[in-house]
Amino acid sequence: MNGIADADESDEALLARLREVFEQTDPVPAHLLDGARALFGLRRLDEELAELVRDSAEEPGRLLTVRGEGDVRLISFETGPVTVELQVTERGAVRDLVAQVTGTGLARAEVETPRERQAIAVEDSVFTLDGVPAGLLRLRLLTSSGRDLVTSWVRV
Amino acid sequence: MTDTFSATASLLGRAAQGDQRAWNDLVVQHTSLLHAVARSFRLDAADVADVVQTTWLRLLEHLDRIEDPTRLVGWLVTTARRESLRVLRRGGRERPSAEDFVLDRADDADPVDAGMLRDERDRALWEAYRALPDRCRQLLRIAVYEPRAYEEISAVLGMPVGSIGPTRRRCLTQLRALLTGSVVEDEDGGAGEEART
Repeated sequence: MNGIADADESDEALLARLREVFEQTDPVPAHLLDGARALFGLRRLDEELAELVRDSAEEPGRLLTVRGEGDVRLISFETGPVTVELQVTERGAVRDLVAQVTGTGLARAEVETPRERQAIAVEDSVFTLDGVPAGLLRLRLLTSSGRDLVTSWVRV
Repeated sequence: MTDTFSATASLLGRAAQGDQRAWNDLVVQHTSLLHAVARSFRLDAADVADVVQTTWLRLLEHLDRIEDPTRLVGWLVTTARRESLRVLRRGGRERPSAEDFVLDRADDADPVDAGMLRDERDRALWEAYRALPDRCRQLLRIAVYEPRAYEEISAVLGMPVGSIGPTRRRCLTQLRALLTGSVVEDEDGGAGEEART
């Protein structure tokens, strides 16, 4: 029974002990570490990031609404003069995507998840892909001038 | 401080150049903290995994844009907080204030496995922690990893930086009081019930 509480224990020592307790009661799962390490393989040095600039799911008017079947979400990405507009329609556990790229011509487009990539046919800078599993994805684009662009990751 | 700075700067620089080992080191150093941030929002295991993964992906896409390595921890924590709030919103459960949300939320996502704690002192500490007010629990859950990172903690809790030190002190005082005053033997192993005086 001795030493359950030690009045002289410093804040740092108490925090260190609490940390050990967290590490026993709620350890970081090994798959989280493995997964985070593996993400590095998704990075390529010469690609340009089109940043997320707008996401209708993040807009204040929507905070109190409950999302549901058939909802359409609009997400925009930009880098320089290039804009990527992504429309996501929710359909159960899958998503239907329509994307439009302006400011550049496109030679190729792919949808990438942390696990795989899928090429999409591009027609007049618009491309569609139905039935993508819900989760993280980004678009990977090759412009007609040979630049590699990727969008920010979004969870759809 | 300087050592930490140069070590972090070097890891970021090497990772930006494509060095997987530098990236692994960053992951090993900071995943516990990100896990704790997501947990402090009472997310369940699957949502915590989403937040941690997304946060690392955000760093990956911004590796060559982190201008100040001393702010890496702050950057990661802020990103993990934003992703945690996004996950909460995704469930259609958003309230006007994130803080209200955290305080209102039932405690079902908080893992309880006091049975794993064979050491009596650890069990007493765990039960005392669980008897603390939510705000203290959230603060301490993060403070154990970055005890001096008041700015980062304030970002997660949405509290002014100046109040973090005093709040931390008050929380530790309460924790000690629970440890000395109201520790009860809990034979059924259920740490879910709080020790009360």
